[in-house]
Amino acid sequence: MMRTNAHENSMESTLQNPILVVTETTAAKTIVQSRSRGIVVGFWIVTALFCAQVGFTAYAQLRLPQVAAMFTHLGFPDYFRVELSWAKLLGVALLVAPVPARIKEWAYAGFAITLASALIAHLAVGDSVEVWIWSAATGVLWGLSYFLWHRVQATPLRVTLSAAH
Amino acid sequence: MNMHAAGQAIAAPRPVTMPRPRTIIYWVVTAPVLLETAVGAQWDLARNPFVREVFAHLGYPLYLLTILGIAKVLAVVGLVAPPARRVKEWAYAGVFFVYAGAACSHYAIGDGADKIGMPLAFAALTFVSSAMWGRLRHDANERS
Repeated sequence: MMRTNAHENSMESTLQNPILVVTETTAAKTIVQSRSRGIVVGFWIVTALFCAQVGFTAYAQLRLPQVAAMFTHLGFPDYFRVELSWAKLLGVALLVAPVPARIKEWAYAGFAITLASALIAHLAVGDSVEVWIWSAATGVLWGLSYFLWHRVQATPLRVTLSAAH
Repeated sequence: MNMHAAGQAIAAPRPVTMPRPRTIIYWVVTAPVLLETAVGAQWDLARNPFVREVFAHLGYPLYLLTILGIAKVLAVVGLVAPPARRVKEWAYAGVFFVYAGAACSHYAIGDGADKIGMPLAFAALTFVSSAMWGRLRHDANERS
């Protein structure tokens, strides 16, 4: 699962969730913790894309009349458009802010409910693929972000300590 | 493990059949939320005259009742069954959003405190229940 190939002498861990991998080298004792950099970078890339997509959508729904018209099309009242847009902006802030995991879990749950409901709403009024494909694509970004967030949570922070003999 | 065994040697273990006060309070707080959500699910899915009237008043499309009804059934299952942590967390989040959304909707169309108060109270109960559940889980982990 986690591979530390940075050093020639690094061990590959086969543990499910190793806390510390201690590697003895001839010159130094290196402690490599197991959070993979790739997963962290991947998480932030998809999360940034997701937040940009949702943030822009919320902004457009608040400010652009032609986007706001979609809510009327789906049969929702106008105040719901304003409420949902602000809720989306709050959710985006919680995804990028350093808040407790439970709060992030609620934000992810809220986005999942919103995205699933949006898809059902489009299908319920008989919209074609090119209308609801955006919700679906945002849903894919959501899924990647949520999956990687839990992968990041499951592993401790990457700290590399080196001490000479 | 060893500490647990030593503790048992000194003090008799608490009988497992007797619920702790905190557990009782948890269910007192949670029961109204469960009941409201279960009844709400049935009303939403049946589209009974009361929810039709509320939805017409708030201006929501009727198909949202089907989405809400199914979501509420899932939420009740998540809250009653002792499932994985994440299922419970999502059920709480979903129920809280429904109550908070209802309160915001009534407020937005200019309804008075009589209409806003009820969903707001249920949102508060949901929040307290979720916080207490976190504590109970923490206690259970410490005991085992």
